[in-house]
Amino acid sequence: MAHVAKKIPLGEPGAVFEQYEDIHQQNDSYVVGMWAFLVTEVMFFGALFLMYSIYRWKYQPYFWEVHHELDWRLGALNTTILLASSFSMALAVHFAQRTQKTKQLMCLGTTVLCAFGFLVVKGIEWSAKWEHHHIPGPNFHWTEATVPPNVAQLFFSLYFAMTGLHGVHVVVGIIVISVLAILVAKDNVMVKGDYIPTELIGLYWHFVDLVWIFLFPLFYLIPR
Amino acid sequence: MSHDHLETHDGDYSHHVVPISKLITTFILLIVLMAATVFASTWHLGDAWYFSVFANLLALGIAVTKALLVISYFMGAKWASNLSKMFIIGGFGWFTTMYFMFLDYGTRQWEPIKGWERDASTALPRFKDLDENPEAQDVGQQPASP
Repeated sequence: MAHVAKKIPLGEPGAVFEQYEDIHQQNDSYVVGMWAFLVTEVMFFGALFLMYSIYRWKYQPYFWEVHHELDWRLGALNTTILLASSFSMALAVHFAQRTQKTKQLMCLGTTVLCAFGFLVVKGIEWSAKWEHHHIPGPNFHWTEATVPPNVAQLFFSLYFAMTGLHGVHVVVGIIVISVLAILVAKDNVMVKGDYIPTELIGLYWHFVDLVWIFLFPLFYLIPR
Repeated sequence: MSHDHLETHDGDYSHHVVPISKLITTFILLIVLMAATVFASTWHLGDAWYFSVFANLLALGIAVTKALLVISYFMGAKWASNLSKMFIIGGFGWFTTMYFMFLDYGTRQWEPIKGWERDASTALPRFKDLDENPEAQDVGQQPASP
């Protein structure tokens, strides 16, 4: 197969650039590159997770009290939405590999819809925090006597920093997946007959899901 | 490119089309594990510290299992090339290694440093004036800032 693929002119689907042995090596170098990027994302979020862990270590009983301000049902709903979006993204990669364009587009659309659903639920949660003055800053207001206001503010700072950064990644995901879907629909030469763009964006989207898998128990389900 | 070709494993670089049945199974398992972690969070076994450690380890264990499912099947790490696996293991391995610094936090009270005894878990000597301020034990019990 490799010697056949080499004869495809550059710019056509399946073309191999001269530095690669064959299409598989070329595809794999794309995947490796994406994983290298995701490793930097692990480090990016890793710093925040470590910061969370240190303060949780120090203020576990207080964090347990404050976490009741978050509605675990909305958190579980968002987890379900994000898992479903990851599932449909995995299906999109599957159909891209099988060059089934219509099904691929349907799956990409489902993923974007789920991502919007996630942001809507997040918006509901954040606006409730706004109304209760639980946004860290000069207007932060805390009435629960059992928890010092500084520690409550610390909890919400971590909550907004981590879910906020995650939310930014969701927004970026929506943009990237939408652009991909448009290119696929228009049979653009960058994506036509090539599953790699879908695969790489899929890896990014699964990573966003991965971060939430840890955020959900750490913020919504703190055990006593 | 024929579909048959896509499923061959003739070299390290060939890729694998994950069957839909496997993706569905993964998705169902992820939802079940999410329900399990919500259910487990409602348990309160007791007030002793080791129950808290157990509950936290259980929640994190479920999260790690879910993460492994996503990485292996949705992200296809199970069929990735060895070079990709090196990056995957390197990234998450680094993350795990970073947490070894809790060996330091966890053992500070075993070798207390003069002046820090009452607030061993912090690196900062926040109450050097403990004699003047005997009520203060940690920053959480200071009067709130307006």
